[in-house]
Amino acid sequence: MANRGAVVKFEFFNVLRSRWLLVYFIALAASTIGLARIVDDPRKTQLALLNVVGVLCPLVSVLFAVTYWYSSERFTELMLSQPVSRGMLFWSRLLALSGSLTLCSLLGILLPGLFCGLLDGAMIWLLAATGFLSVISSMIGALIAVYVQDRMRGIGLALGLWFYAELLHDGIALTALISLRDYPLDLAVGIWSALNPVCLTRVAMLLRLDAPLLLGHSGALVRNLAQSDTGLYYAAAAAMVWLAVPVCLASRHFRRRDL
Amino acid sequence: MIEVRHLYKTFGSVQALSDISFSVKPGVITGLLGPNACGKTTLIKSLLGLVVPTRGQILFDGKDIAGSYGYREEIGYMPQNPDFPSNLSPRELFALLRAVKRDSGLRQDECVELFGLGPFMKRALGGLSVGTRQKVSAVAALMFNPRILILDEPTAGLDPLAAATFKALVVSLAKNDTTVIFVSHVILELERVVEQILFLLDGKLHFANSVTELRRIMGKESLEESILELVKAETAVPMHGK
Repeated sequence: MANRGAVVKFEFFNVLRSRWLLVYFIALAASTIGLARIVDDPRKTQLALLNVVGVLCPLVSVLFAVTYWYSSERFTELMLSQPVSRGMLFWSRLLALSGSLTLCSLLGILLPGLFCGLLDGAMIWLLAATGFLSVISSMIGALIAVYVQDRMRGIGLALGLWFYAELLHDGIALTALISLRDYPLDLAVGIWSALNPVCLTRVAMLLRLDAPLLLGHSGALVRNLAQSDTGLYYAAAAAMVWLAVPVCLASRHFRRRDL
Repeated sequence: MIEVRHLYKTFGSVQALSDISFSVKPGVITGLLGPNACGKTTLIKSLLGLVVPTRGQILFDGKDIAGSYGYREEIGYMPQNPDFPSNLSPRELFALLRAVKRDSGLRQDECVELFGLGPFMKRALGGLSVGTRQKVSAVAALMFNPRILILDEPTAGLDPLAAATFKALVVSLAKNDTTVIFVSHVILELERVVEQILFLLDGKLHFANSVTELRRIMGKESLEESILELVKAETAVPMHGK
């Protein structure tokens, strides 16, 4: 029987050796240091960092994950010609990718954050949000690469999803709010916000940072819901769905697909 | 022993393999031949479990391989275009394969020396030439003394000396009861090595018998001429064992 540890270890170090991860780490660290220098107030720095993380983390994680899966396609064939199960290879690669991306993004904020004296309770929430976005985005990247065989279409879809999460989702919410302003939309917007992990993270973080003015259109309406216990459970459940569904779908398809 | 029974594979509306049945005995080198897109690689990938057959059975030593992967312990595989992580060195690749198989890879040093890979062992695979990467792929397939060897265009990109070394190694393994399936477009190359021929055309097996039998049926001296006659023939010739 194959050595599971060897596969996980190889995948993890193979991902970590990528130069792009180093570039990503440097970009995050430079953003953290730069913002800490420019903005005097630690709370405002954390808010600005949240915006950087909300844009950069999903983009880098989903693109890195998609391209890594595609570029490993032939090597996947070689690995699966060894006594390695598809499930083992899938989980090893998924853990390696999400683990490395999360580690890289956390260190990129934490190390300069410590250096600049930004570490407090809110910063812990920011780190948790960063980790959550990295893990979810790398899982969505895996899902895309496993389902879409054409590399260009896969990368296009990843960029499209990022665009949706960053702009389109809020744009649709704003359009709906203006068009249907005479109707009660709280519940609908609550459900709508759950369809975007970036929005969910932003709402949760801004409530922790006590900065509701920056919530955005869908976020502002979901604030009341999210501040209650029910709202918190709802947000946690939505986050769990975002974690579980892409992984289950990707794992199921990877075990059955032709290589 | 490998046995394939009524194997079918469809990709959407394309019938890649249709009612393929054959068996390969230990110690026999079998050439898998056919024009481009006739289903050779699909058949090989089905044997490795990389492609899931639509219907039919593949048996290794009498056991159905569907859903299992332990049988691949015994297989050495050389893909058509090997592609390794570019920042990995051959030394790291072989170490990974040894760790994955929990096998010391007794023939690694011998194969590395035979293919002259010594100076490249610490260099990144991404920076090596196509031929050198093919040699690395050959070592990866041969270093564990496999019971079954599946080779997809193994000499493409190899220099003549390396190709001859490789074929000599394959023949020596077959003499020690290794089952070999050898895919190649170069019929002359196969003529000197293979004992049995599987000929695929449009996803169907048109011939499965010994090289001698093929020559006898087609009335030609060389394998190349016999294959050409086979392609021209409108009806399939009798199958092996029937």
